[in-house]
Amino acid sequence: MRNDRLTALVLIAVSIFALLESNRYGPLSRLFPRVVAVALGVLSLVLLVQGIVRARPGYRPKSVGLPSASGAEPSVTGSAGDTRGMLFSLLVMVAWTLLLEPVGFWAASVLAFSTLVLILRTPGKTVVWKNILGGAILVTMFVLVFRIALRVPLPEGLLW
Amino acid sequence: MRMQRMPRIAALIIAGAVMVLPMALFAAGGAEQGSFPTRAINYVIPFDAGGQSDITAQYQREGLERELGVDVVIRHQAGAGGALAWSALARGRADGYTIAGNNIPHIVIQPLVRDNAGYRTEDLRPVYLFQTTPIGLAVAANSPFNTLAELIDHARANPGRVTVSGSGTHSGHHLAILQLQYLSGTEFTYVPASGAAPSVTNFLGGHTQAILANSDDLVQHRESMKILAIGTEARFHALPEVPTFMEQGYDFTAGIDRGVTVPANTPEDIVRRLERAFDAVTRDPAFVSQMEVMGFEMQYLGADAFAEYIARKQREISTVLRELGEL
Amino acid sequence: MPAVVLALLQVIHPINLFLVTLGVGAGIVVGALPGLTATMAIALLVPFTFGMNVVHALVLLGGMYCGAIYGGSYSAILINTPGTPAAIATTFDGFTLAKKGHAYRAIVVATIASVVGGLIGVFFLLFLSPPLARASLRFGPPEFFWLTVFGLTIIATISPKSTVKGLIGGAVGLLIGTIGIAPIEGTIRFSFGTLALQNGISLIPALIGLFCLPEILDMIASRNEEHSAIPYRSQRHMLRRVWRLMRRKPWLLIRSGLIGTGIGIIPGAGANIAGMVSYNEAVRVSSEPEKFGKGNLDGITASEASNNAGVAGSLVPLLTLGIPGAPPAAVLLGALLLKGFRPGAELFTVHATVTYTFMFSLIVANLVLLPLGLMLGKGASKVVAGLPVSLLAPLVFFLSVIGAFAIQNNIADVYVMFALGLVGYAGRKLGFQPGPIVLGLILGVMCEQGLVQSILIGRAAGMPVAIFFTRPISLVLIGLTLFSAGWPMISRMRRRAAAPSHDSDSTISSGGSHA
Repeated sequence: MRNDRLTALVLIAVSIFALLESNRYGPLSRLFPRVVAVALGVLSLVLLVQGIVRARPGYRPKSVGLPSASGAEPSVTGSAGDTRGMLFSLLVMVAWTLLLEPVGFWAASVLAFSTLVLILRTPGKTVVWKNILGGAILVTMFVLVFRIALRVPLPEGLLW
Repeated sequence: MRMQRMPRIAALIIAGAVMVLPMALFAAGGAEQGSFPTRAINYVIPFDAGGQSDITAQYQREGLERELGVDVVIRHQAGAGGALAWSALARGRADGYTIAGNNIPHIVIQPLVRDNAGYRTEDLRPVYLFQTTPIGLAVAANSPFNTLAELIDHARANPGRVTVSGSGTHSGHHLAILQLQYLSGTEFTYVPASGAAPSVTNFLGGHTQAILANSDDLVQHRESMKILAIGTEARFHALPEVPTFMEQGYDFTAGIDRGVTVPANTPEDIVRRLERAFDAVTRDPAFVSQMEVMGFEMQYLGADAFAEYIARKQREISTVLRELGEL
Repeated sequence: MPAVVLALLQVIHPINLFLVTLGVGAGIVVGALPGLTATMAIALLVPFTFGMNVVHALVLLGGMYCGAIYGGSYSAILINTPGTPAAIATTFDGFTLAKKGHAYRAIVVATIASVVGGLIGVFFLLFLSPPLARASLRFGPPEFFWLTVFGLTIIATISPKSTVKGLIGGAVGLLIGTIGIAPIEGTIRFSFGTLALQNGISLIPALIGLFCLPEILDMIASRNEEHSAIPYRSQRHMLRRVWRLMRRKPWLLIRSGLIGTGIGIIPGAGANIAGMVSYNEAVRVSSEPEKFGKGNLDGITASEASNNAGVAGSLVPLLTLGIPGAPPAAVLLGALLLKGFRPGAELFTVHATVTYTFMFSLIVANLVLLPLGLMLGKGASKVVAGLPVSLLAPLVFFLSVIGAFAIQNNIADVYVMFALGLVGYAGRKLGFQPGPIVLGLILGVMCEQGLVQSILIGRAAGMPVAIFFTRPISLVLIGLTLFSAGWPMISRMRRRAAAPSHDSDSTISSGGSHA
């Protein structure tokens, strides 16, 4: 619930910013963003009020909401999940994205793919070199199909 | 016999699976020297697939491949009224292996009306201008107006009451309506759509009273409209019964010119090589007849004439936009 | 010999049958890869059809169109990322099933629904094209505005947990949609001076980012080498079992097909919206709306029957008027023009044989979809199930990157994909689902266009406000909007009046039929 209140405040700030920013636009260019910004502001306010009401002691939710089906069930496996592994992987993905252009699509992808395989391996279970090799083959295959058959000009960078 | 292309893709995919890759790796690196071109040329269309620029390029491709002796690959990079592709081109390698379609007035207007379009018109070197799509003004077949004069009189008596459909803001259609308003002293309501097709839809559905449309759309839908004027200097071959704006006392032409362009610092001999190839393709009688059937007008401007033409258009358009308060 | 008979003979010619099959197969593969849309599939293929005769080219491209729209369901089901925007609504129930090991079952449902929906669409294309195309022109800017407003009411349906959060997501999507060049005055909005944002946020990178990246991160955080992230459980006679279930609800299939065809016909609306609207109606009509979003087969049926019906729908205005109903149809129009064919009356008189061959080939395409789709679908779900997370997560990310890049050959789109992916992940942890955001993004652009165009036209006619409320189709859409927005309340009252029934035919509870 505290998260909800924070989110609401951030979104209210966004909508105020959008309102102010849209002042600079022509009459027909600002109409729609304004309507949307106002709607966003009002809805966020509702969320804020909801959050405050529900945060009060003694509030009992009317219905027990089931966790939404698609997606967030982070602790299905019982453990709290591997947050550290996820953060490391995220860093690799950021590097991957940023290196695509300077290093080249293929090289950056093979490199980052292999690093991710290393991070995500289960010691004693994963045959790391097999996965890295498999990854490299998959990446190369896709890059070739895109470059040659589909003629998509993937960035070549320094190392192809 | 062209059918063999399909199995060829399949074969390529399989070849990829069987891993011929290291070889491809080396092949891509070498062979930069020698006479241009030695490898495939990317022909970037700054608009959507299926549009007029795309169709023209698809027609040219075979001829270009014959002339240049390498593959020509058509790609689409639509966005920001063409500016996305042109800014990428301006920043890219000036080696002639990436060329892009060049649509006037778009390529001139974008840097004029935006603080930062990502390129300046001078960053690009025009290579060849091959075709013009004249823009015409039409009303519905059952409209009470039969001539441009009648429509203008009505619009003058009722400022802002006549709605005109067109494609885009700061586009060829937009420029045409601005010029017509300026020269006739009238005021229309211009209703821009996100492209030629939705603009035609709005008009055919009776949601606007008039339309500014490219010649190929006029030819395509001529049974359901009355074409009042066309933006050529002389009568337009595909619609000979339609008078020009100039004939009717409005001294302007309206059209979208299509050509091809490369980054400004591309070596001279490469520009000339491409110019020669495009010239040969454009003069091919089969190509000419295909283009004319679809409602295009041919042009044969080489690199120098094209550069002059763009400079002239740039002056003209900035004057018009400034006088109309659009800048 | 009449054209129809000639066309029938042509379509069963082995080379045409081969080309349809090839088109459908290639379409499925391309459509299943996130980011590679039906439009792109067809655009990539057009140069290869240049030297073919027109019948072969059309048959191949038509098959590709059907296959690609259907193929989008695979990635929707298997990795919670719609392969094409048309498959967004398929993710809602499809992925839940996949996580429980019922991916193949979901794919079988999607396949049957696609076949039936596609055939319904072709039926209308064959028999009612001219009147429907003329009717579609009645859809002007005000109608578009109201259609998108109606579309926004779907948010309430697809965010059952918190309507407020769903609506906020929708508003955020709408706001993201305003980034870039404004439709009327050409103003550049919310670009913060960057070139990348001037061009606006493209739908495909946003879609991949919002749906796919959070899924990858969750997959990593909760990985467990003992179990596959997307297990595969096989069942005998899956096709027959599923068909027996689906047969009980013929109206669901027919209604979804009709909605898809209708929305497909409206130029500019397209399959992207068709699936969502149909899903919405399925939830509304259902006696157990609370089961949707948790692995209900009906949700997949509604979405997939509808988006495949939209394929033929989008060809109705194309063939009769030369106006494409959807972006892939626009590329098809280009291919037609390249062959020297002008859509319109001529196609049904002078070139009737070609036209009817093309239409018949769409029937074949939809029939071929069944065996081909089941085969490829089974393969895909087995492959995904066989991959450990340490391979699957990097692979899916790699595909996301390549998909985001390929749509416009623009590296900035990859950055946008990543940034929105992080937003999507944070949002998911806070209870915001990607569906409403993407819906807002899709509808926002159309909505604003309709709004400002209507104002311009209305102002010229001296009725700037009245134009929204005086046209018959608009009034119908307003009625639908009010009904749809008020429905949650109505249904609550209804449910309070009648005791809930317990009939769990088509919902698979966990612990269900595993084999």
